Amino acid sequence: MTVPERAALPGVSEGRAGQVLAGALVAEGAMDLLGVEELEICPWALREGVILRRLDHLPEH
Amino acid sequence: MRLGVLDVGSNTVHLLVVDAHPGARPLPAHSHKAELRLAELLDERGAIAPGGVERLIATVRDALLAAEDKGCEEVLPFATSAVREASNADAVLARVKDETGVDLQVLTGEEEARLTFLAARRWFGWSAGKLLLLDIGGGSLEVAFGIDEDPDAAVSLPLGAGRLTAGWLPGDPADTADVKALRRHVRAQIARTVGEFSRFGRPDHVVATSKTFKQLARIAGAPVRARASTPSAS
Repeated sequence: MTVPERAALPGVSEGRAGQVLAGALVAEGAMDLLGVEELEICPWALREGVILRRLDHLPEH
Repeated sequence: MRLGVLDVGSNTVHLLVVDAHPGARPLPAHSHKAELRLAELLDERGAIAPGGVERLIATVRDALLAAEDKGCEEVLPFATSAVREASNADAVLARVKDETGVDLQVLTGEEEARLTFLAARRWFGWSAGKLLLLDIGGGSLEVAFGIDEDPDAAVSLPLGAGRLTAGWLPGDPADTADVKALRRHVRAQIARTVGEFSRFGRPDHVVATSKTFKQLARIAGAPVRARASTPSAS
């Protein structure tokens, strides 16, 4: 599938269509080797983690 | 207080502004994104080329202005794999600091995995039990596992979607032999670290962050989710 064809898939943005094949190989490999059948998407990630850690170190009012 | 977090990633430079208080759920207020693709701006020696450094400085400056406009009291600036692995990282960080005043904190891959795990734990809560977290960034793959807020195991592998595309899949459509070779490389790299996780037993819940996983979930038929949580959902 070419990059423009991938960009037409549901949820795939034009900017990331080029990367989604490599991403899929990594996802498939990781899930397979770690024995994962199913996973849930989490909307919070690194940026939220940085904020949460900063807040943990603020004094409580 | 209003906090800004400035994320210099391999694909994007992203300012996220949140209203945050200790003990409260951080509420996203604003998101400002620039596609810089730093990982693709490396030259043949693995250095961020001069043009890339200029663009990074301009982007950081824009983000700072946006943070000021939105009333941020503090900005937490950090960089991940693209800057971390650039052969001229120290020079780039010094230039950014001189010209913008921003002291980018370079996170190690393990810190990246640990902080992402913390966010996932807070999102899903203690009832999720033993969590296994996967995150595919532009430059690296993070895997973390644990029952607490700080994971028992956390690793980062140089298997980001942007990095692998640039290094292994030159054609469009990709050549079948290239895909096979990349598949073998990816699996060999991951297989080396599997033992660090399997010794903890089965996770109760497996969660994934990152734009790559969100896109794959949509391709696989997952419904569009309302971004009730945060506009940083990428």
